[in-house]
Amino acid sequence: MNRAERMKNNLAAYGFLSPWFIGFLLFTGGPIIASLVLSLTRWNLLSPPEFIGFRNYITMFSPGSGFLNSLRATLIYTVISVVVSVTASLFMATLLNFRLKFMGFFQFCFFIPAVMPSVALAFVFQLIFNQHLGILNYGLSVIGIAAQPNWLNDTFWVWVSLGIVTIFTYSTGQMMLIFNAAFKDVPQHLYEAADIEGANYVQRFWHVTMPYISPIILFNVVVGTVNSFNTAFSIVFPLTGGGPANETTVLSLELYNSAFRMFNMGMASAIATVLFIIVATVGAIQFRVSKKLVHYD
Amino acid sequence: MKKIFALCFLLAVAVGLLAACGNDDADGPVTIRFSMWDTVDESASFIQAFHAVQDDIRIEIVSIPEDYSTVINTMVIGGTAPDVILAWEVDMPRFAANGNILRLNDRINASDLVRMDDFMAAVDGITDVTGGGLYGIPWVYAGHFLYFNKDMFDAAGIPYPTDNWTWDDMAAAAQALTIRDGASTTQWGLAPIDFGGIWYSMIGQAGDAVVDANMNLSMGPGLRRTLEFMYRLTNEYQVTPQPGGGLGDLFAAGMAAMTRQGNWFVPGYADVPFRWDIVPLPRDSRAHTALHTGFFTINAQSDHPEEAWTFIEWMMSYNGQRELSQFSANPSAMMSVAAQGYHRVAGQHGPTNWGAFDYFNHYGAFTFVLLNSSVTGNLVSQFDSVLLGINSIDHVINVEIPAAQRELDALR
Repeated sequence: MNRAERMKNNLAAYGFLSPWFIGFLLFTGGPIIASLVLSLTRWNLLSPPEFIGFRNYITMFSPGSGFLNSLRATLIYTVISVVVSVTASLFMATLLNFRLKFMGFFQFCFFIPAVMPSVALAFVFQLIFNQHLGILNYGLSVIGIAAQPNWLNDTFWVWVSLGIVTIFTYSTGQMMLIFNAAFKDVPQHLYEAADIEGANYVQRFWHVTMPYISPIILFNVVVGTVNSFNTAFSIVFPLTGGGPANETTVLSLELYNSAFRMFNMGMASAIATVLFIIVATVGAIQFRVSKKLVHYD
Repeated sequence: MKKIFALCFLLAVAVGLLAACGNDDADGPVTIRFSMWDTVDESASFIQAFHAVQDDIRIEIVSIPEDYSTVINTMVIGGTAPDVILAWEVDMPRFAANGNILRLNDRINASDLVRMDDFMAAVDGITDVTGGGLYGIPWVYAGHFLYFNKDMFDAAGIPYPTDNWTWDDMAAAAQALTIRDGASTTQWGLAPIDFGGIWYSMIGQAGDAVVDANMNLSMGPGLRRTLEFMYRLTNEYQVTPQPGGGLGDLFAAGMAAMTRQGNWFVPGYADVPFRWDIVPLPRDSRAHTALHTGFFTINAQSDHPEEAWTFIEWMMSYNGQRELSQFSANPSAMMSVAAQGYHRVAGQHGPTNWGAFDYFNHYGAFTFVLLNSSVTGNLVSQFDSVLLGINSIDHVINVEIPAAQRELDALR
């Protein structure tokens, strides 16, 4: 291949890459840089931005700011969301691998809540969790439990409620399908060898299935973590509004409040910058830690 | 080449057609867009009444059922706001200060239909918050009531609430009306505060100004007294449930004998299957209710400001105010219209005590609605937290109120 042909090939490759690259620059890279710049300004959206240096960041980390509380809420939500999503999806995928009739129907039933819009899901659960009119507490009263929780207005039960809702999100349904596919890739001869060794079902699952699907678990944990940071808003905002007493005001909700309720785009951009750094750092740590736990062979 | 010419011709025709679609027909009526909260469309009676008297202008409703202020602000920023914006109290000064809405002084002075001297006293203070300019006119106004279930009062043998009830009267009645079955409560004396504005009405009743003349928070002893009173009702007397929020209305469901809500719930309770009525909110050291309104404003970017003013002018005329009052069940801010009682839209089983509306004019004030709704909404969450046992009253007064004030300061 001569130089002209190589050049032609390279240009063709860049041509094919360019739609994604242009899209990235316009819709991802550009806004990220714009957000970084705006985080150094005071801007109420209506009047021109005013450069104020790092004052937004200083305010964010000063005593009395809601940022540290939001950071705490975000970390709690992320841990609950990821643990519940991965565990529930792994469990449902395991159930789907039993050799039973109508498995397609069960798969459909397991996945159908996941395609419901998260806001609609949150409103349905708001009614279910209502302390006085909700079906959940009615069920508890029927079985004789008099002390029924105020699910969405108690600093402990609100996290339990969010964990329950997480089971029915798109993220969990998607993970279930991925795990289900991964289970089918586990070589059958490994199970046969385990059977010969006298392994029971739990041992087969723990010593054969789990190591083999560990890269998939890592994938789901990382994707679930990033999703949790970024999509907490769509569940938390309609379900709890950040309450009770800001207990569930996650960073994405704090960001929304700053931007569109307080009209403080500078502060909102500063929060977005910190959120970006946190997500990137957590993702990097997960990959680093996973080197010891994930088996690629 | 022919194909290229044909393609160019077709494109030119398409662009021309699209451009024609985007403009109003020079000979036909001008369409202006008008934004409202709630779910409203052009079949609304006041729009129909305007169309009946005005052939040259058609109104297109921009209905924004949720997060109205946020959406309107976003539209203003994006240059897509409607010609006539019904602006919230807190938004109008921002829009005026940033040149997003037109000054109306000259138009109002030249109008034979709009009479500023006819407005209720409480309105005077908030139409003039923008440096002497008038940028908006209140469409109607609203306040808060105590709603009560007559059937439950009769069953308990308790006299109905009066216009002069106090907090103690309400607490005593709530205790008598609460019915328990073992550990569970089957009938609550008083529904929880579902609408945050009620908190600010109560704080005002307990003596605090809520907001001072400089738009700062002014809550202290009255707030403490309010929180102590509500804590007693919720956790000691247990006659009102803990804040549960959300989608349930215990009063409408027949599970609570009394509730406190805005007067806009009058049409909402039209079909409840029990007899009910309204009285002014019970008083503490003084009678008080927080008031609400929205302002007709003209978008500075509008292509049709004169037509927009024609619409506003008619809506603020006697006939327009009559239509709006009947449609919204809210009283007109113009005294002469409110006196006619067009806002009295009764349901099947209530209300009958229409005199309760008069109390708005005597004891009402625009307070928390003048402040950023995120700040006041977050404070309501903190008030609720006291009833839930999450925070102490001292924490709310000494930590949360100053924090909210700092947020307000940062907005200036």
